[in-house]
Amino acid sequence: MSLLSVEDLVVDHRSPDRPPVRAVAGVGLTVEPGEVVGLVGESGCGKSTLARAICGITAPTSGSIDFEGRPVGPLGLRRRDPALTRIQMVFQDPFASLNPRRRVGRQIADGLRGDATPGELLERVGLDADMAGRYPHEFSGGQRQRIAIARAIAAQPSLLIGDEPISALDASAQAQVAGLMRALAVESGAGLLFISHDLSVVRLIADRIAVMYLGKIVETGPTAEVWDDPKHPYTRALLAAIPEPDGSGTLPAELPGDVPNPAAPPSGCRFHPRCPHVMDVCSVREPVPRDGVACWLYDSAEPAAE
Amino acid sequence: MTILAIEGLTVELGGRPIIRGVDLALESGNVHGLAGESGSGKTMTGLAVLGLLPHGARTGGTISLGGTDLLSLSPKEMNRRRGSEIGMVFQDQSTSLHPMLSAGRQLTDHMRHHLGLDRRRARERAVELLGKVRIPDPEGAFDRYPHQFSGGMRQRIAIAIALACEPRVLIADEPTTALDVTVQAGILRLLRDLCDDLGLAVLLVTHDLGVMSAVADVISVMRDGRLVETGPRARVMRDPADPYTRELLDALPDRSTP
Repeated sequence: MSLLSVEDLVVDHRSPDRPPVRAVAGVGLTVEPGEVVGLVGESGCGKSTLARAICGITAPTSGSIDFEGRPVGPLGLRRRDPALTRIQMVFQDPFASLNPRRRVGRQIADGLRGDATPGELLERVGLDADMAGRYPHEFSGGQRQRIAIARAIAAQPSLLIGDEPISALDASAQAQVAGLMRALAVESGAGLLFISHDLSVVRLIADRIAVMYLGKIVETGPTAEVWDDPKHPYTRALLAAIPEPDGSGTLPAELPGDVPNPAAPPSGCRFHPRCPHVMDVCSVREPVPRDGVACWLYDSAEPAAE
Repeated sequence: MTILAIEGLTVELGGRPIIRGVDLALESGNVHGLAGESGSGKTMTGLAVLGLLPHGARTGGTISLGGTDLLSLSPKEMNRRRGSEIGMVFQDQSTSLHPMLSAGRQLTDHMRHHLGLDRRRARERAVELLGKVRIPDPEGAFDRYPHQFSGGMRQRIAIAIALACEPRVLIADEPTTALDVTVQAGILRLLRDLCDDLGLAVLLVTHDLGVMSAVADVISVMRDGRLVETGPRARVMRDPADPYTRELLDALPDRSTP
């Protein structure tokens, strides 16, 4: 049984006087114990909404989220089911996710399980134990994110979720923090769902990559496989857009157009207006994921032209 | 042709040296890349050119633009050049644009001030510029507000604003760091084209050596307020002379894991 299994999850953002925005439109995803899954995609594709739904912060419209065999419900006013506190999240902005008026040691102690002290947890994330008495403003961005990670692992989670945990950090701290999250998760046998738009970092730490486009996962597979032999045209475009540091002066390939409005997604395959290999069937019917790729190009069982 | 020459630039902030002697020469039609870790003084070098250093900063050396030393100018004279002869694009497009002014207002404000254009001519030119940076429907975009654009589009508007008064020098400080890779590719192409077509001299400050390799003609590497190496792109990227540059290149994921 998977540690986390998400099936056909749909999340709508509702606001008055406007049609609901379908941020997540039928996503299936699994995370195994000790596995690092990287979720990548452009901004606005629903990555963060998916993470928040898995945590129970956002209520799903339909579909199921099962964690260690039990369904994850949305957070309410009452105390959360203690079994669900084994899901812990590290947020994007460490300046907003830590309480500025409480000492960091106290904040780490909030969710503490087992007999570790806040000081020991700080040491595990590479800080000094005596920093527990300080306030968040006394730390740099990278250090604060380490504190947020220490707070998350204090509850001995079996699933750690990082929602763009490195994008607010300096370039020099990004790889370190990402590596730290991976090491801590793998060491304790927990699963890690790592969300980022930075493919080069995800490539370094993830065992498996899931590529998301406009609320749907278009391709999943082992990191090396996806990287070396991307199948879906969107994955190819994403990888081709990364500039190579080879000194040749080649400009990276541009993917024309913007991400369409999720409130009015294109018909059929959601990528077809920007796809270089668009066929007739693409605008009519939505492709079904097959061997981890949702694209008509690889669906030989279906006639390409109808 | 050298347009902007920085010679022996030093910057001291609160008694602490931030930049300890930097020499750079920007040529027209060239993208000059400035690489280095955070805290190495890359951004401060860009700000020094614009005269936007923080209060209490002490400078030394010269920054000459067409024969005048920018560091010795009075604030009034500097104001005349900033935005007209030198443009700047910042990293964070969501804070570099005013949220309550329309894109058009932000594009025409300094054109009317520096170039003395009337409202109608300024609008014409703004629409032309929005088209040049490839904003779809430039006429309609003129009256829209920053929050109605995506991140990539906002950065294009920021570039259009920087180019409005036909500067000779453009300082781009991490212009693509906050953007998705697919959008980044478009912005890099745009910068390269503008540089080739308008003969701009661009100082591109970035920590991303991939970005550097894609657009820069000349690369300088900075460390602790000093330049450790300057040279043509292919030479610096493939055969770095300085051990620090080699370290930076070896730290790239592609090279360390073959």
